[in-house]
Amino acid sequence: MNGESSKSAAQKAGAAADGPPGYDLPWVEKYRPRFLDEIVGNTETVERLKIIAKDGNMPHVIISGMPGIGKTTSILCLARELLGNTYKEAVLELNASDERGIDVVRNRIKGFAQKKVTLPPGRQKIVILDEADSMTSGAQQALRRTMEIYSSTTRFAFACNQSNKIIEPLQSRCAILRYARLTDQQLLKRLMEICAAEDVQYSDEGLAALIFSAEGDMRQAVNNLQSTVAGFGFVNGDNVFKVVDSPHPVAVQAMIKACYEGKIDQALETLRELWDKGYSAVDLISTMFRVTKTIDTLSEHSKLEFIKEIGFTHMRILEGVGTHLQLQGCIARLCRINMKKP
Amino acid sequence: MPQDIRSFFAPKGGAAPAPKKPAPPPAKPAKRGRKVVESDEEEEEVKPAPVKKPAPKPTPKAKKEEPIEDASAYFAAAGKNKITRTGPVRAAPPVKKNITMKKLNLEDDAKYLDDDDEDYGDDIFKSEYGKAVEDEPARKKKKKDDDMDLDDYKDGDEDDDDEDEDMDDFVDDNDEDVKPKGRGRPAKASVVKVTPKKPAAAAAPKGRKRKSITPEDDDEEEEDEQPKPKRKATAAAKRKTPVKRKEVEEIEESESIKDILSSVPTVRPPTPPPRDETKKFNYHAYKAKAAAPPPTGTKDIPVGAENCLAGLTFVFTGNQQSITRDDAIELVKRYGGKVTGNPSRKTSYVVVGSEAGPKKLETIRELKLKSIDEDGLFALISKLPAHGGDSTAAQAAAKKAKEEEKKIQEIAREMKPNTTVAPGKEAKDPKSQLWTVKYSPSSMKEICGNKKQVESLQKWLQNWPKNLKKNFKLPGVDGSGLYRAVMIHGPPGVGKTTAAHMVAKMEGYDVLESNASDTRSKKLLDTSLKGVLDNTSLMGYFNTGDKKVDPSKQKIVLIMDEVDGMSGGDRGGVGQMAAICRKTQIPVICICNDRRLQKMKPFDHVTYDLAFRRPSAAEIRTRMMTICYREGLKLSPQAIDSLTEGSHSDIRQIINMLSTFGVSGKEMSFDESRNMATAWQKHVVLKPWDIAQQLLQGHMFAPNSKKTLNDKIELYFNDHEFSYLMIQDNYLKPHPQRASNYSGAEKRLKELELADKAAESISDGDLVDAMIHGPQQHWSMMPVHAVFSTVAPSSFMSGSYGGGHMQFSAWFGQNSKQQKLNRYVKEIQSHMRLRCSADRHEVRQFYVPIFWQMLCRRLEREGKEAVDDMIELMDDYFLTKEDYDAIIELGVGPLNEKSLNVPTAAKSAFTRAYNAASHPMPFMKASNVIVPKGKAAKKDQPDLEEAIEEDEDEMEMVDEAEDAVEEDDDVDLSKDKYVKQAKAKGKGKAPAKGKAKGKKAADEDEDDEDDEPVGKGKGKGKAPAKGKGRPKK
Repeated sequence: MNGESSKSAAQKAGAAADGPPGYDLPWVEKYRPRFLDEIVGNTETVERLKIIAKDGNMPHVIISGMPGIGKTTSILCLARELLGNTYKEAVLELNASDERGIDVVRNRIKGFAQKKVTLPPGRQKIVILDEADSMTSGAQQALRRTMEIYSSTTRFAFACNQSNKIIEPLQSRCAILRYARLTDQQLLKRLMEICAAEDVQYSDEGLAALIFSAEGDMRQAVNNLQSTVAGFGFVNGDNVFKVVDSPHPVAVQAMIKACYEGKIDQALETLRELWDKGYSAVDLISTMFRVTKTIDTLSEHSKLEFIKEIGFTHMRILEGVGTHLQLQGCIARLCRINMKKP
Repeated sequence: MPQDIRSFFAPKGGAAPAPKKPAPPPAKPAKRGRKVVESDEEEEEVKPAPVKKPAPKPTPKAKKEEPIEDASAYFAAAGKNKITRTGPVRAAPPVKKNITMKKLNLEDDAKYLDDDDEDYGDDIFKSEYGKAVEDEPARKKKKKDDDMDLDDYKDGDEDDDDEDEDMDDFVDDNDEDVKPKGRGRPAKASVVKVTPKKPAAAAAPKGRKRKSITPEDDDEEEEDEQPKPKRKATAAAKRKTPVKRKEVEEIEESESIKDILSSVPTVRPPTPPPRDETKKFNYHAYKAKAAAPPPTGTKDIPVGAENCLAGLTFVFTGNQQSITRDDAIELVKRYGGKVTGNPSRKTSYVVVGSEAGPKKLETIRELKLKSIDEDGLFALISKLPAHGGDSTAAQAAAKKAKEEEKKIQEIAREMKPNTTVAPGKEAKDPKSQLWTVKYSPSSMKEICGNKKQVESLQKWLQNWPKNLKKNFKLPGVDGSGLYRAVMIHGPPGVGKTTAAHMVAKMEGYDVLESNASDTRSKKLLDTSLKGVLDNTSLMGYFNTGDKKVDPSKQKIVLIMDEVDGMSGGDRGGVGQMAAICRKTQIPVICICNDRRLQKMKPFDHVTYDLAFRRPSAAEIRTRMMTICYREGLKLSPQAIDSLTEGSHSDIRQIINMLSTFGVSGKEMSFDESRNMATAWQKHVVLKPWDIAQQLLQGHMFAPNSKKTLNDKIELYFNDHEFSYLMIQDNYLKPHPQRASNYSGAEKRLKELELADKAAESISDGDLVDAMIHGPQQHWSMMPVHAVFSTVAPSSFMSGSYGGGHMQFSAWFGQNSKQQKLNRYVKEIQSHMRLRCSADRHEVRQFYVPIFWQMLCRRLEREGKEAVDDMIELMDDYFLTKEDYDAIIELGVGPLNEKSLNVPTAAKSAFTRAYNAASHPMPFMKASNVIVPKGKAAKKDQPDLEEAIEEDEDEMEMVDEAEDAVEEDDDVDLSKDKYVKQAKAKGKGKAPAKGKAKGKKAADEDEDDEDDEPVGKGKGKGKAPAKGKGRPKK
C-alpha cells in the first residue's frame, strides 16, 4: 500500500518536474544527459568529445563498452552540440530496431551521405549507427568506401557493446573510444542528484547496495532506484536487494573463502542463511561460479579446482536435484579440496 | 692515456707512415676527448686515425657546425667542432681522450653513414654539401640542443653529422692517405675494421664519396667503393654490434684483433656496466641448469634515465622470472631500445630466461652474442645514463634520430605547398577534413611501404595498352603482361585503395570506381559494366572539336574496391567479375583484404596478384613524424612505434589516433601512446587456431601472466564451437610448463600426470557439453564448459610448443567416418533383415566378423574358386557388392582392412562374376524405382558436382556439410544401385565405385581399372559412379 502511494507520488513529482505533461518517462530517459557536460564518467574521453563538439571536424568514431555507461548518450549529445538546430536534417540515426541490411546501407545511408545540407564550416552530417555490432558484416562492408568518399560531408558514429563485431576495416577508419564502467563515486553522484530531484528517501546503505548491484551500469542503477522507490518508497539495503533479488555476492564470496580456509561450519552457516532467504539452488550455484571466477584471493589453480566441483554441482542441480543437501555437499567437497593439501 | 695513444700510433704509424697527407688544409679540430671508449672496433678504427692525424685541430668538442658545408667553410665553422669532414686532417695527436672520441666517432660515423645511406641515400649528403648553408639554421637549432651533454654531443653528431662525418672523413682520409703511400696497409686496416665490426669501414667509404677529398687513385677509390656495399649491408648490423663498452666484448675483440686490443687496454669504457661477466656467467649457469625453475619472483623494476637503451637491440627468449615477456619488451621500448624476434648479428643483448628456445641459444653461441638475464637488463636500465650515455650505439641512435628529425622537417616543409594547394582547388577548408584525407599520399614518394608493389602496379598499368595489342600473350619481365586485371590484396589501412587511385592518376587514367556500397550482383555487373568496358572517357570525347584530344583523357581504369565485400544481394557478382577480368578491354584493378577466401577463388589465374604487406615501423615512422610536425604534435619515435605496433601497422588508424589525440594534447609520452594503442586495439574475433595457440603455447598460464581467468574463458567464447575441439586435438603437444621443474623419468611421470588431468577435464567437459547440446539445452552451463573443456586442460598442459603447427581438430573427420560406418552397418542389417533378427549391434559384433572371414579372407586365400560360394552366401543374406565393400571397411583388429591382400585377379573375377548375374533384392525404395535410370544418373550428377566442389574447397571446416553431402550421396547411390540392379547386372559396378570413400578410394580405383577391361556395361555404370565416388573423398 505504502509502496504504491509513494510510487505514484514519485511519478507525479517526476511528471511535474520535467517530463511532458500527460505521461511519465522512466527515470532513465528523464535523466538522460542532454549535453556532454552532464555525462558522468570516462572523463578523459568525454573531455575530448567536448573539444570536438566545440571545434567541429568530428572524426568517425566507434564507442564501445558495457551497457549503461553512456555510449549512445554521448553520441547523441555530441551530435546535438555539433549541429544544434540542424540536428533534424543533418543526423541520420539508425539502431537495431531499424532495418539496416546491406540494401539500407546502399540506398538510405548512401543517399543521406550524398544529400546536401547547409551547415556551418567544420560541421558535417552525422550518421549514428547504434548497436552497430548487430549489423551484418555485409552491411558493414558496404559502409567502407562510403565513409571515405563522403567524409568531407558526412561522419559516422557507431555505438556497440563488442567492438570485435565490427569488421576490421571499419575499425581502422574510426577513432575507437572505449568506455569503462563507471566508478562507484560517479554512480553515487548521479544517484544522489536524481534522489534530490525526485525527492527520494534513502539511506546510505541503500545507495551502496544500488551501486554494488549495478556493477558500474548507470542505467541499471537508475532503474533499480526507480523500482525500489516504486516498490518500497524507501531506499535501504534490504529493499534494494529485494528488488534486485540475487544472492548477495559478498555473502557468497565469504562462503567461498571459508571453504578455501577449510572452515566448513562457517561456510555451511552462510549457505543456510542464503538458503533461508529463499534463493533457488540454481541462483546460488551460478553466483558461486561467478564469484569464484573473479575472487582475488585464490590462486588460479585452486579456482579451477573449485570451479570443477561447482560445475558438477551445477550439472546435478540442472538435472533436477536442486536441494539444500546438494549445495551442502558441494560446500563440503570444496572444503575438502584444501584439507587434502597439507 | 698517452700510452694508449702511443700504442695506437705506434702500430699504425709503423703500418702507415704516410698518414699525414692532409690534403685538406683545414685544421682538424682536436677531438673532444670526452669519452674513452675501449671498444675494439673503435680501436681499430682509431689506429688509422692516429696515423693520419696530421693536422691537429683545436679540440673543440662542440659539434655545432655541420660538416656539410664546403670543406673550408665547414672547417672554419668546425674550428670549434673537432670534426672536419672533408679535411682528411685528423686531430693528430690529441689527448687520448680525443682518440677515444675519434674511435667512438668512427664507429658512430660508420653507423651513421650506413644509416644515412639507407635512409636518405645520397640526397642527404648532396643536400648537405650543396645546401649546407640552407640547412644550417635547422642544424644550428639542433646544435644548440646538442651542446649540453654527451648526449647532446651525440645528438650533435647525429644532427650535423659533424663528428660522425668527421670521423668518416678521418677514416676515409686515413685510408686515402694511407693508400697512396702504402695501399696494402690501409686496405688491411679497413678490412680489419670491416671484419671485426665493420662500422668504421663502412664509414670510410662514404666519407670518401661525399668529400671526394684528396682523391688519390681511382683505383683506391674503387677499392673503397667495393667494400662499401658490404659495409652498407652490414651497416645496420653494425649499429648494434658496436656497443662495445663491455669488458666481454673487449675480450672477444681482442681475440679477433689482437694488435688493436693490446694497444687498447688502457682505454677503459667510461661507464662499463659490470653485468657483462655476470651475464655471461648467468647464461652458462642457465645452460647448466637445463631448466631453471620458473618462480614468480617479484623484483622492483628499475626506473632508468630517459632513452637510456638507445641504440641497443634486445632479443628475448624463454620466460623471465619476474616479468612477463610483454612487459619486458615494453620496458625496453620505453627506454628507447629495440626488440627483435630473433638474435642476429645486430643484437646487442639476448635476455635469456628459462625454457629458452634451443635455436636461439644456438644462434647466440654462434654469433657470440652477449646474453644477460633479467637482472642484467634491469642493471642496464638503472645504470645507463640518459640517451645511452656515450656508447657508440647510443650515439648512433641519437644521430639517426636527429637526422630523421631533420628529414622530417624537410619533408614537412615540402608537404606544405601540396596541402595548401589542394584545399584551394577544392575550396575545402582543410580544417574540416579528416587527417586521413588531408595527409593521403599524393605522390609515389609519400607512400609508406609496399613501394615495390606500387611500382609493379604502375608498370602493369603503363604496359597495359601495349599488352592489349599483343592480346596479353607475352608475360613480360615480371609476368604481369598476361593479365588484364590486377588484384591488390592486403590488410586494411596499408594503402591499397590509395595506391590504386594514385597510380591511375599518375598514368593519366580516369577512374571508374565501384565498391561495396554499390550493388554488384551478376546481373547488374553485366548490364552496367558491359557498356563501360569498351568505352572511352567522356572527358576526351567532348574535347574533340577545337582542342586536340589529350590521349591521356581517353583512358579509363576500373577500380573494383572491396571485392570480398560482395555478399548477400551480390549474387554471382564474384564470378561475373572474374569473367569480366578475363575479357576486359580496359584495365581493371580489384582490391580485397583476404585473397585466400573461398569466394575469391574465381580470380585465380585471372588476375595479377599484388600482395600489400603491413609496412614496417621504420617505414611508417618518418611519415607519421612528418604529420606530427605539421600538426604541431610532439611525439617521440618510441611513441610512434608503439602506436604502430598497437595498430599492427595500420597507417590509417595511426593517423586517426594522432588526429584524435591532437584534439586535446600536444605531446604524447611513451606510456600515453602505449595506452592509446591498447585502447584502440582492433578487436577481432580470433580464429580457432589462434585460440588454441594462445592457450596452449603462449605464456598465458605462466605464473607471472596477467591474464585473468575471465580473459581465458573469454577466449573460449571467441569460437565456442571450435576452441575446445582444437584444444582436445593439440593438448598433448606442448611440453607442459608445470613439469619443467623435473627432469628425466620424473619429468615424464609428471607430464603423464598432467596429461591425465587434462584428459579427465576434457571428458568432464564432454559431460557438460552433453547437457548443453542435449535435449535440455542448458546453455547456462557454457561457462562451465569453457572451463572444463578448454581452460583447465590448457592450464595443465600449456608450455613451450615443439615448433609444430596447431592441428585442426581431427574430430570432424573422425565423426564423419563414424557416421559413415554406422550407416554401413545399418544398411547391412536392413538387407539381412529377411534372414536374421539381429539388431545393428549384433550384426556389427557377430555377423560382420564372420562375413569378413567367409567373404574377404576366403577370397584372399582361395582366389577365384571361392567366388561362386561367396556370391551364393551374399545372395542368401541379400548382401550387395556395396555391402561387401562395407564389410571390408568394417573389419577391425586382425580383420583390419590393411591386413587383407586380395590378389587383383581374384578381385576382378569376383566383380565380374557378381556383375554377370542378377541378385535378389530384399526390397526397393519406391521413390527410387520411379525415376528412370538414365535420367536419375544424369540429374544427380550436376548436383553432386556442385556439392563436391564446395566440399573440396571449404576444407575441413566443412566437414559437417560434408556429412550431409555424403548422406545425400548415399541416397543417390542407393537409387542408382537399385535402379540399375533392377535393370541388369552390368551396373553392379556403380555401387562399387560409389563406395570408394576416403581411404578406400585408392583400392577401389584399382578395382575399377581391373574391371574396365571386363565389359562395356561399365561405360554407363562408371560415369555416374565416379561422380558419386568423389564426394566421399
